Amino acid sequence: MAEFKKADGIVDWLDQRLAVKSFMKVMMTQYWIPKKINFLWAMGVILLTMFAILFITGLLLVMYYKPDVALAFDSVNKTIMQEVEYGWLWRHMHGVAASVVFLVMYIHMFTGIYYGSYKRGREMIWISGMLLFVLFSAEAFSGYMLPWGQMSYWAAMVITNLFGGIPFIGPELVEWIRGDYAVGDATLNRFFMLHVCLLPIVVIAVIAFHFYSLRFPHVNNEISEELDFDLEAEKYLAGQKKESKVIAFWPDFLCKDIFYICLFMIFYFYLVCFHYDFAMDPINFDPANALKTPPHIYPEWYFLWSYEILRGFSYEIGLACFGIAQVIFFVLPFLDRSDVVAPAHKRGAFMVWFWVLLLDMIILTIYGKLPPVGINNNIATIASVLFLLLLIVILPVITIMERKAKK
Amino acid sequence: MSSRRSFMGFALGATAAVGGVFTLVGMKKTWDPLPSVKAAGFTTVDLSVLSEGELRTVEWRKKPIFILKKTEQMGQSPTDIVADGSRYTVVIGLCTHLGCIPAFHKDEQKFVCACHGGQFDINGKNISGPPPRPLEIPPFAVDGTKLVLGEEGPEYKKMIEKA
Amino acid sequence: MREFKIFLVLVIFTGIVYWGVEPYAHSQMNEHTSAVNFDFKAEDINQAKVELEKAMNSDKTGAEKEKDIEFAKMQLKDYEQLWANVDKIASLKADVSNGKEAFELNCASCHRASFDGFNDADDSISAYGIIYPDLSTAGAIYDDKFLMAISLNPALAMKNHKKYNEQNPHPMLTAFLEEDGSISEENAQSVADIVAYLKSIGNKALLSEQEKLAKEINASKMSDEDKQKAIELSKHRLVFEHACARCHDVKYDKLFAKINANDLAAYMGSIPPDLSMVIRAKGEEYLNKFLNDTQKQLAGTAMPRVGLNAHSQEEVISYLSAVGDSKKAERESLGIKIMIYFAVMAVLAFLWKKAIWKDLH
Repeated sequence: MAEFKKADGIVDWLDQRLAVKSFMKVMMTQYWIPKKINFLWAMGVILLTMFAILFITGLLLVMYYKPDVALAFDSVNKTIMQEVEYGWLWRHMHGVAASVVFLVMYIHMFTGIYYGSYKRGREMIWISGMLLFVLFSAEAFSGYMLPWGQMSYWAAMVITNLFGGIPFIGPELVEWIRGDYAVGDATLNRFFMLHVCLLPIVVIAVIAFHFYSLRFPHVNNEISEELDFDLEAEKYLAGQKKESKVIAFWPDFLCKDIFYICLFMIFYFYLVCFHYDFAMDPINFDPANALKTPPHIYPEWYFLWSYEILRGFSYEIGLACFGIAQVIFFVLPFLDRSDVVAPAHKRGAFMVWFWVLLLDMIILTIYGKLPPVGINNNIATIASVLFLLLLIVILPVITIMERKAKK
Repeated sequence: MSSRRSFMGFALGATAAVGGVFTLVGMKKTWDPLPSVKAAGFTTVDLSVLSEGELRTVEWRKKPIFILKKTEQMGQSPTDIVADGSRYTVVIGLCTHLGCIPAFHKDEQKFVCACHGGQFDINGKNISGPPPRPLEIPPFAVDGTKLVLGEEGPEYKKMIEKA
Repeated sequence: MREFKIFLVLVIFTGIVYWGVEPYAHSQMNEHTSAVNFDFKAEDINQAKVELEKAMNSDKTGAEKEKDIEFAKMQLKDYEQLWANVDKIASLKADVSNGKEAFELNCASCHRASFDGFNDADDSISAYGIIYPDLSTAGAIYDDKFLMAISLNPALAMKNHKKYNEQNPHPMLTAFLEEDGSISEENAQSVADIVAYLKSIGNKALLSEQEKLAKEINASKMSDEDKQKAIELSKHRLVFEHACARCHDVKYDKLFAKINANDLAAYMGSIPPDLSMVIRAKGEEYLNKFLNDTQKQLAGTAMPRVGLNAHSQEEVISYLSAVGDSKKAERESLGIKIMIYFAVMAVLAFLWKKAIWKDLH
């Protein structure tokens, strides 16, 4: 048992019991971040902010939402949107944040790819990040079902049907997932549970893991330089802050991030109050109708690229390619076979690969929403094939060449 | 420049705190009863159909309200509600001890609570047992032979002032 | 500077994605239609021409295509004739008291005009259980020329003519036209008089109903501000009730269709949707176009063009906004305040960051 002295203040009292001072040092004032970074490094904290917004507004919504096919639509659109004080605000904030969080996630991901932040000790950061992406996708899908509008219903129908393509167990699996022969009350209830209980718990755990996985390899920097963090930290602590290549997480790094968050919030609340249709599809304000499919159904924008890969081929092949597309980014650290850690603009062919990939995914996204007619289908197929080639064939080839050139 | 630094940090923190307070006020309002609940907080009772000496229980804001049209013999009390020449006892039928519903014993002319034996007279006044106060009087307004529960009419305000 | 360049790249790519999945995609999904036009003559003839062109350019072949073209040509001719007749009627000098007589003679066996004492309509003759509308306020709510057109050829005026033919005639029977589709001087005068009569009572009827509602609201125990709002809303709702609520529910406002749902389903083919949230589902622009010309916006819909004039259409949209998007004003004013708040926060955060980074650079 440690020795407890009479404390000379609340902080000391807490420190003796909880070691708050060391804790703050480890987590905040002596957690080192490279100095040479740009605003793209703020995306992580912005994502955390968005998750906090989603969590809190979600709590407020759950108090009035009713997970029942007969009540869900009105509980959202009448009770929450028209009756509850600020209910509309929480719903708009929740809906828009759910969409915008994906934009920030994509930026976060592509920043990682551009600067090679998934390599040399940072593999687990990347993999846990991808896990978060998948979990957020599941959150987005299960949440989209809850208002029980036309898009909710038909998205649920289509996505659960996807599992029917799995060999042997497909049809039984679909029924099991739905808990009914068609999407119905049981389906809504279990996805409600997933959305508000199980998935958030897992997300929080993986976020903690994602942060933990950063501790040893540290955050990458703008020139992908390998830093001796102990040495640089010594300089910083000795008062040579200008010479040191690192800054403290608090307040040096966060003060910048808070500034970016404030700017981002202006943009976010503009969307929440004035420009929300992109995130809250008007069609979903029509109540679910099992006997009438809307003339156009499409997933939310962030799923479009993988949805387009699904559409680009015949049924079985499409499903297989879709499956590959879902998991391919997980293994990115192992597809990039080069041990060069550098920003893309210093990596020649990789730079070209990066922009082609980005453009290809944008094309897939845009064509994913267009009606699947005429030339649109051909473009879908070409872009899908290109996507798979880029990741499975071209990336390993480029990086193997890079590795050989280095020798 | 550490003074400037701490000043700016303080200003930012203070502004954030103000925003936080507004957010909390907004969240608090989200917990308020809905307009539809509040709108349902008024109950109109037609007194003209009541007969003397009979207890009538109506529901108001999910609580039982005892309405008793008093006979001559029951006497007068400052808590009586007078409407259309008749006197009424109108009280919230929840024992002021711990909230059970007292039963009306017609023969004894009193209300007896089954939970802990509290007793109230015909005017709702506590006469024995643990109840600390008389039965409460709900806000009311008299509108001819109609009694509107939930609205604070002039008669109600006068009665509260006296009490 | 470097950060700014990166930001610019980000904005451009995000912008492209946004443009692709929102304005561009939606422009590809929805058919382009002409703007709202309350000159129904021009609207109908234009639309008939558009449909003729579509029939000629369709992918169909052979007899089927021939049939479509033939139908579209007939439709164009029918509309030209209908509106020529209306022009003729509109040019006449109308007389209100003659109109009242003509109304009694021609309309009152099916339609009420209860405001002016016409209450003898026989509901039992109604087909499918559909109650014929009370025309007290028709003169105020509907376009004058539309009223003339509907007196001559209801199916064509309401644009549900594809549903009806000689074996299955439109339930509203009129006999103002000659065999060849032209109109006699005498009948033209009658129609002109009837419409003049409906107009003469329409506004009065509407006003008297408005006053009645306002009186009820003023007698209630609301605050003055709430009363003002409630009166405003009651005006919008009144027009909606006359124009739409025979068939449509707005359950969020506790407004229910006057005609039984089963009868409606039998008559229309499906139950007309509840319109509580339609303003969010379809948007103001779509609804305006749809009300103005239903077939143009949603070909094949069972919903008739009801012929609202510009003002009452505005009232209907205002009503649907008030019910389905009741927090719009709050959303917009709060939105500005929150954005200003974060702008202030951003300035403070920037100054704080600058103070801290003085030691770091």
